[in-house]
Amino acid sequence: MNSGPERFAGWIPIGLYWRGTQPMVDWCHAGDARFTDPFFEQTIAGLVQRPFQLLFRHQTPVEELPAINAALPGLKLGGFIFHLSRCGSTVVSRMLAALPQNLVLSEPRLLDFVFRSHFHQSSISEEQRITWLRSLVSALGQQRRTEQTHYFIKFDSWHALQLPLIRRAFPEVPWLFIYREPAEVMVSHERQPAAQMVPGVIDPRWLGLAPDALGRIPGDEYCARVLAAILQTALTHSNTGNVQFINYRQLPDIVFSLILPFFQVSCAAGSMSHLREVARLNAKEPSQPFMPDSAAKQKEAGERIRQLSDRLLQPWYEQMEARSSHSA
Amino acid sequence: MSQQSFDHFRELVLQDPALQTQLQAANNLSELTPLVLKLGRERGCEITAGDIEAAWQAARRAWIERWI
Repeated sequence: MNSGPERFAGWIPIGLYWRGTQPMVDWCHAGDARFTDPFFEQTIAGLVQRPFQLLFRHQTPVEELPAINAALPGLKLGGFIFHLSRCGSTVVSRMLAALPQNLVLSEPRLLDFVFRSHFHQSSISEEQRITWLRSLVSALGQQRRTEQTHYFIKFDSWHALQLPLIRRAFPEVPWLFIYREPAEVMVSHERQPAAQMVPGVIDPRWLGLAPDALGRIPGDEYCARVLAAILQTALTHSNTGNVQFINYRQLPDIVFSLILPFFQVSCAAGSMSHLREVARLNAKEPSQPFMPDSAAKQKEAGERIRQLSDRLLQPWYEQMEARSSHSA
Repeated sequence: MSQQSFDHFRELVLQDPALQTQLQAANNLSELTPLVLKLGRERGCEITAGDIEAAWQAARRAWIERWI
């Protein structure tokens, strides 16, 4: 029997929720899971297929996290991955995750709670959110296998809007920002919009918009404004020296030439071919091969997308290109 | 009362890694139910198969609602 914080060894936070005014953490037993699925939630959904996981889960007030962190500290963070969306970030996270020394968590959705909590309860300060973020990241990053030494988080694309908070919480952690020619990104969202492209999912204040403006902005322009805000925020917080901007077209070779050294991850010659195999697959549907689609998306981009991209996105894209590794 | 017994058993499980390991071996509810009944009885918890089914349904519903 163990009622101390050590009882959380092998467990991982999978969600946060409000019980009245009390933030609660929902935990799942992850054991030695490697988190090599394209997204964190897919690994969790797989774990919860087991009946034990549905019926027996710890539920703790968020204030218990620091004691758990002290008893079971997470791995040292090796880096963060931010991105514009639809730009190859998942292939990068999957290539990193293919190396056994890396624990890579791809877009853990529970971090949304921290970023939005002050909208639910206005008394929650930035300092409080920083404390929660550090505690959650530590709890998420428990070493699950003895060979794991490096820990990375790929954030959801709109989490880049939270860079001021994230950088305050983790000023020393190196980070990447992955981006792509904006019209191609817009075409991808036009084909299949991501959740954050539905007006209202992201708080309009993070986009510099008044709440009543949402209903007046056409869907494609809203998409462009979200992307512009992400690009702008990444550029604004990039003057620290520990950031690299990576263009989609540089993938996957730049993983070997820049990203692994930047994140101080060594890759034996034997592992390189394995990583190249991962890159040959569709990152989000690994049962399918990767098919280049830039030419098709450029062809598909209509006049309207071109106009929105030129007006709202190209200026930021050009700044990012000037800062990118290939411009040096 | 019976639901309380299941909740009590759940607390015992969450503090006991050895008990967790035994229960994690179950692949489905049909395998889990007799295990919970046996291990609960050994610990003085009066749990019925109906309690387990009810807890299972509630947990499934909560899990699905998590995505809505």
